[in-house]
Amino acid sequence: MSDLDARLADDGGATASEAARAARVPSFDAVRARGDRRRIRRRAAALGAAALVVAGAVGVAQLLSGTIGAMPPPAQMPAPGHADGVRAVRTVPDGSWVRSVAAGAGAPSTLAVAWQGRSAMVVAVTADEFESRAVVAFPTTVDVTAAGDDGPFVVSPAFADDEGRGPWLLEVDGSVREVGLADEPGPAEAGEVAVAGVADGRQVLWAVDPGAGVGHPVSLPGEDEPLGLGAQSVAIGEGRISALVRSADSAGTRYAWSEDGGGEWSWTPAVPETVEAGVLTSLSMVPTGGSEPLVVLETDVVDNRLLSVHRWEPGGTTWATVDPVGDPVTVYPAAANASAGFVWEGELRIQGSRLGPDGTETETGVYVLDGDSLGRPHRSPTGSADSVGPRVVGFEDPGSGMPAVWLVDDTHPATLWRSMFGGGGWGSWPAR
Amino acid sequence: MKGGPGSAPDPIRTCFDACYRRLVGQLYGVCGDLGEAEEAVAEAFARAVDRRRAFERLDNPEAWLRTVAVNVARSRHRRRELGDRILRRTPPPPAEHRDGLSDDRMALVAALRRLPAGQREALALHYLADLPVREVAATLGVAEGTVKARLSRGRAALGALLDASGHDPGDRPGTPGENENGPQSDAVGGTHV
Repeated sequence: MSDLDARLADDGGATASEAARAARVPSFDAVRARGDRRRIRRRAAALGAAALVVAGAVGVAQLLSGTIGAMPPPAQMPAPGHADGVRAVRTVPDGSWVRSVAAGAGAPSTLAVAWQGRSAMVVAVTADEFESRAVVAFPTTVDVTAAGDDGPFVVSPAFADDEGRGPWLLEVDGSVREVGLADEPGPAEAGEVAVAGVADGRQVLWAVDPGAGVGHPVSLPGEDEPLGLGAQSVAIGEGRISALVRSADSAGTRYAWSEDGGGEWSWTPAVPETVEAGVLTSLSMVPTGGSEPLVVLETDVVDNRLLSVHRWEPGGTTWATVDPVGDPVTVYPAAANASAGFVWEGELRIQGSRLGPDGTETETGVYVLDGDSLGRPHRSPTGSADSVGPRVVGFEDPGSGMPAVWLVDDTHPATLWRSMFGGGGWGSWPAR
Repeated sequence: MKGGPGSAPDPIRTCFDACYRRLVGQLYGVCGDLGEAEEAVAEAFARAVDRRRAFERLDNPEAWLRTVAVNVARSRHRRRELGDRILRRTPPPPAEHRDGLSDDRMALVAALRRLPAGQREALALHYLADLPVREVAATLGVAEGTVKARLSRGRAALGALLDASGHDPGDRPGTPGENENGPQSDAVGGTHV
């Protein structure tokens, strides 16, 4: 036995014991506060991702009522200058990352991109693919939702500040006004845009009339539950609003959805989550609408590997679960634990990477679920095994049958990638 | 949840009081730096708080925390390494010296830092943390055979590294030249085998 072998064999845990004694122990209260902040951020981020899956340029209620193109023209906006806590800035701060993207319908020359920086939250908006731009700073973390072919955009708080400001309407010239919110809840009506947000520590849903600049809350299921329970996340698809709901009297997470703008809600039983020692999982909804099934992705919270796909067919009575076979695919969250999945031409597609047994990630791209197989992906336009792969940051589903998905690679955030082919081909757009 | 008269103790706090130091000790060899190990374990507990309900259902919360901490350490290293490459930063400074850690053991851990991640993790958890192969495999999410292979290759690689550099693991860590020619200068991550 060599000296080295002998030394290793003789250690017997002495190094770990020595390090354990030398370790500095933080206060548990500090660790707990960190965990609480993490939970709040995760919930807020999940909401933000839900907000950007709004029906392209028109509100869910409009799609429901078939009033595409019938929206009244936006009211004249005030000259740039600014609602409380909102100000024009010159540029997107270096080091910022993309939270969400919203685009006008069709050829998306009109874009709003929400950027999260260390000390500033800004939205860059353009009507000409960022040949010219306006950049506006907001007082809290926000996400963006398109409210018309050529703007405006609804800017919704994803992390409520103490003063409960927002949502706002942002025009492509950078002018901003705060939405006048009524207290009385009601379902989203024709001409209103449904946007998810956070207020008073809870997931909320607003219906905003972009023309009139007013809005009102939409009741979500589980609002009577204690703080921390109730709606955990919200997704908005074509003609369908969905929520994952936890309640004090239920061990599981139930899926609730509305197809009338939040007037009435239908419920499933608890989603059949994996119960396995040592495995903690996260559920995220794939935004769906029309005649598409309800879809929930279940991922491992540690490495984001996709464990199961749960489907509920329209008119169904039970969840059907598929556990993909083969090497696992790690799913890149759109924002924190939000879903990276989308439905394209009836197929479930998921942005992720193949996770090898040694932890390396390869074959980054858009995977198509075929039976219980994820097969080979449509390769991403950027990224490498070294990077944390490109994230889905926006999905347009204008109800035209030509949905589009947006990606960003965080190592090169100045470029957005858009595919109208379910990940089968990509075009680049400037992001600021 | 705060413990008070008549209330049940917070199970995460109970686990924290019982396991925090031990987990940091086990992660020390994996991370190659005590501060990084402390940070990874604290983050694992924060994630437990984040997922309190699910955490409280675990059969073996300490094993879960160890796995999470290893993954946190890997993930942080990968991001840091990528950033370093993009910004063309110089290699990281040698590990912090901490009272209570003997030079001899710090030197051994510093030598381990030069190994590929898979080998280092296996050697650190099996030899320095004294975990059985089965538990190392569960922590790393690989087969026992894989752990054994990594242990074997890791010992050989470590021996070759020390021979090539002329260093004895009893040398002080962070001595000049340590980061100049080593095949891996990473603390966590790098090439798995």
